[in-house]
Amino acid sequence: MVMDEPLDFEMEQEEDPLLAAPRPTKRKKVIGLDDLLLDYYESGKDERKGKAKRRPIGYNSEDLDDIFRNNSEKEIEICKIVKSVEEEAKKMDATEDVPLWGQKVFGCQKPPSILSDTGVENCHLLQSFSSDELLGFDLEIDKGEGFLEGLLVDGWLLKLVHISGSVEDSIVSWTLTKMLYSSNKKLQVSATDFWESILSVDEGDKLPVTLGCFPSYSVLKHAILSYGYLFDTPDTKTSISGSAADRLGDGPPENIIAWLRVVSACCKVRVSMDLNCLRIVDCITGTNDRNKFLRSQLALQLLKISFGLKVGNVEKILKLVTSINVKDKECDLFKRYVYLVLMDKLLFSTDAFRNKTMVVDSWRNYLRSCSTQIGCTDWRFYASKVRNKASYLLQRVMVKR
Amino acid sequence: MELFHFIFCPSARRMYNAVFQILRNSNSLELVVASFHLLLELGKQFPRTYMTNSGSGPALAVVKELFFFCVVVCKRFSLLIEDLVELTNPTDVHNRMKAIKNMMSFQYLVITLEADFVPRHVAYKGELLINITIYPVMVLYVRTIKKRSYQLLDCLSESLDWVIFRESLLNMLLVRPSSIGSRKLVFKSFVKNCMFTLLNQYRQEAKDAVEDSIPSEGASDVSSLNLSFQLERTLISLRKLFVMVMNLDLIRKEADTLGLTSRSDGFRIPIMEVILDELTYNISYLSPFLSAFVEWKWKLEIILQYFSKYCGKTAVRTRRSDNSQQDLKLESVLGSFLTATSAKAIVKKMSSEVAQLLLAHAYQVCLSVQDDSSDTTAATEKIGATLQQISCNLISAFQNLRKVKPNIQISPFEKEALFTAATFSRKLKNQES
Repeated sequence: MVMDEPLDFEMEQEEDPLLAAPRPTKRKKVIGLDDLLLDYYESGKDERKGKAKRRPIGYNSEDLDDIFRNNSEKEIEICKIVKSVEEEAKKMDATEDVPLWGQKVFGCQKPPSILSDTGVENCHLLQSFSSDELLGFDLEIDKGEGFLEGLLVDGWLLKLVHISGSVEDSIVSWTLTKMLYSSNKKLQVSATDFWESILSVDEGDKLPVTLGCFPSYSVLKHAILSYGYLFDTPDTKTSISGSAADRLGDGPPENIIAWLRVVSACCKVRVSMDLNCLRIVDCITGTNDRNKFLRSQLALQLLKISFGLKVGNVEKILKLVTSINVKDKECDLFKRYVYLVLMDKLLFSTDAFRNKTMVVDSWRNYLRSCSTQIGCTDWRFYASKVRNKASYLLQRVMVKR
Repeated sequence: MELFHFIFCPSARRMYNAVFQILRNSNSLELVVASFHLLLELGKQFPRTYMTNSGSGPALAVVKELFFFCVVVCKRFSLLIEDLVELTNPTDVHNRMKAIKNMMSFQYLVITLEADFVPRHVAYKGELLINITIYPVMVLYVRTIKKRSYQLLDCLSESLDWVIFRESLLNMLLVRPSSIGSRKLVFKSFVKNCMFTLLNQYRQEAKDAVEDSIPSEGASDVSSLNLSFQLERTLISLRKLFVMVMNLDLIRKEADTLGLTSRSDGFRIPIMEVILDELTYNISYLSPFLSAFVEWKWKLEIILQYFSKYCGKTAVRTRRSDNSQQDLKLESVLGSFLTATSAKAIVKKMSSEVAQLLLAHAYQVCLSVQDDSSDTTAATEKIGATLQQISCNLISAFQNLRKVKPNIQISPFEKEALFTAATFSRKLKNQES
């Protein structure tokens, strides 16, 4: 199968690259269901025109006939739907182009800082284990960091931490450094597993281990900067195929998977629906398409978490947001305020929804009802804020159209 | 509803095939990843097997007509495994791409099998009402092509518990591969191939760790990063597949004892036996395999069964008393190392290095049981003692083994186990006092 050519879905024989040699041609020609159906209709059409009662042999049930016809009609309908969707998609492509591949996001990487001499061998875990243990074995604890690395890689450290329910700060920072900068693959993966595990919350939203310090923003940012991340990338595209020109160390950094895993673990720890949500979204500055898209997606994720949805698209979220009546005495207006802002970011950060009149219209109607249904004399917490925000956003939606 | 019909129209099948072809054949990483995700998304949108909440409570729904999705990938099952074995650290770009494609296809296969198996397992465990649903329109449509769709309805008269597994993709693949268009599978060599891949990877990592200081050329380009990521995912898939087969074996055994199976179910050696055989005859496999296989419930099972060959008390093993060997607990295994004389008796039968290794791994499983809150009763029964007892007994077991063989080597892993055991026994003692 030549991959450059457009895909031929009507190809009769499915080629299987793995079953390399073609079967001997002994096999009879298989008559597919489609062929039968086609034959049938070819003959059937003429019949209907002539209003003849004759039916081909083998198809003597009228029900069956109806079913076949219904199905083929449906298929035609579906084909129409698919076509219209395709056209829409093409239109969208023209307006909204977020290149997913071929972006150069990492520049020159800094050499990793010297990892030795972390002083971790003085940690309580190793120090408390000393002379008083008369096991009669030489466990080589005096190797210090090397021994600790073994504990980490073989999974013992995680068990120790889990069962004791706490972890020393020196070990926390040591594993973090190993994860972000170690070039030893095994150590890197183990450290990431370690972090993912101690950051995973249980059903009661509690961390399994009491942590003295979390990976801070500055540590994570420092790491990604040293990986050579280009923060202010212009929208330049470099193709992957030009890898011959790439110098060594120009590719993605080795520890980036670890970095991503721990950041996503951090993000899952606890999201409270307060003003911080809005701040997080506002943190993403920049006007290029990728930043806009990220802002919109982040708002979507926050809304999804807030509604407890695992999957959900914009339409579903919009339905949920707009289903809440602000007149209701029980209505939490502070939450409403947060939703309003997040919805706005979601819909209007990018141009993706500008042409979706259904979405925009229902959102506009909701904003209008928010701004009119909350009276000036409503003294509920955040009532005036919601009203003002809604009318402000409403105006902007009108202007943008 | 339109989409539902769409999926049954003949060209849907071809399109699905084509997407799979792209995953198999394309030389562009972008296309491969995109087709992989498209296939996953299709699986989610049109689940073949899923739990529904009908009027009379939760039920299992099986949409037989959607199974052609799975057949496309299952057809290549045995070939995929063989391909996987070949991927030993590919160096040039072309081979790397090939390896990535193989690994992603394999992952997709396991995801497909899992999506079919897990709902069945949930239904089995929960003893839910089993309600096999076939959409009425499609029954008529399909009936004209194949008679097979009747088969399900007939099955309803038998006991349902085993039926849901007999009809599972995994079981069909392993026992009746021809029914879904797959090649005949030699189960033993399939398991061996899987084990080989697991072990090979572990050895590779160990080698990398040694040569850590020398950065290999071009080590950090896109495809190698992707390769190592995919490799990790593939090994997870591989272990998932093992656990699924082990679960299937367990259910099969229950069905056998209840007399629910028939001759048409065929016979297959339980995967556990194949693994144990491999590990017994190739002792060098033992350490890497136990390190790579982290699913602790089954790891404990493997270790206990390994020990039961040497320190089990049942002298006569008949078919009926087969269950008795499962009763061996870790506590009693450790108990048989508690005096130098009893340790000596065992070491006569099995090498003391192997005993040490197994004990250390078993101890790690105990710790996993402690910090995993879900579903621990069965595992706790198998352990049969508190953490403190186990910790103390582990240390004395090691001490006794050394009395028997004074110049015994202790690997770093075992040293770490001893360190952990000593730390815990001290901590727990302090808590008590």
